[in-house]
Amino acid sequence: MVLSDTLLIVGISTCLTWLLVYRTENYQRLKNEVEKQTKKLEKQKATISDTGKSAKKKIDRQEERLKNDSRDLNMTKMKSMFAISFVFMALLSVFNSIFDGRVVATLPFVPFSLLQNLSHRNLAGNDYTDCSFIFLYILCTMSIRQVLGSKDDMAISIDKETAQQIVNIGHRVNEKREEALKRLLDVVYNIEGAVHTNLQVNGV
Amino acid sequence: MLTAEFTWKDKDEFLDAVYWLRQIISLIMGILWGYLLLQGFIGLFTFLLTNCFVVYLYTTSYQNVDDEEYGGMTEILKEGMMSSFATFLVSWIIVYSAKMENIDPTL
Repeated sequence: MVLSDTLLIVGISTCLTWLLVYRTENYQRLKNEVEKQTKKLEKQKATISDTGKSAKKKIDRQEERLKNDSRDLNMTKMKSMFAISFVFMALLSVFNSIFDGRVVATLPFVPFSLLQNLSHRNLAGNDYTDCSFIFLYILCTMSIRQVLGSKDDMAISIDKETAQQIVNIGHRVNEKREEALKRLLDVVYNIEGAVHTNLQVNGV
Repeated sequence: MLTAEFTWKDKDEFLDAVYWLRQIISLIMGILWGYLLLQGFIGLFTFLLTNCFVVYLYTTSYQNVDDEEYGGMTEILKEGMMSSFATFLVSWIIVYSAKMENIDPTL
């Protein structure tokens, strides 16, 4: 009975994080927006070979927008995480008072002395295979919250990606600039030659 | 993830695959260890060894990935280690407790 209670409570508390942070409309909207813009930027980057000044400006604008959205996404996440940490603290103290001094599970191993303070917290007796609520709660949050986190560390990865893309675009633009200058010089040289020949022809 | 020698679009995609593979293995192993009523540090060590070995085989033999691209084999082996260990412990403890509860009604 105690085991099922613990499972239920741990399940509810972890789902709460998901509901309050990752399923919020604002978060989803920003996430989609950032994803969309990253893809758009990728496409534009791929077609950079045909760029002129206007295309470069367009990409710059796109990057700026992407940066702003990433920042907003991080802000939303931060605010929600702040609220969540409060909820978690409150839930932890409530559940702790309910399960304080109760054995919620049996450990298949005896934890080493440092962990025993946690796994045998406020429990009577010397059987160190008895597990307190707090130990199981910490393990569950370690496992489930990281699962959620791994999928949603997107903002950080997008920030990194954006920075990398900007560097790449900078390199490409510089390469293209040199090439463009060479071409321009060639054209100028050819025109001069042509005009000169024409003049010569006309003169003759 | 299950396609052999899959071409990964980027580094994170492969590391995500390793992460989820670990999670799945940990959950299955935790349930199995609990069901078999394995006890003590043997259970922990066998989990750690098996988990690392499966990831190693998956990387080198199944996907044929160059580990240097990801900062060496240790980096790949470290990916999602703690959370998979937590998943294993939770499933192991829960199944073990449930089985022990059935065996000993005083618990």
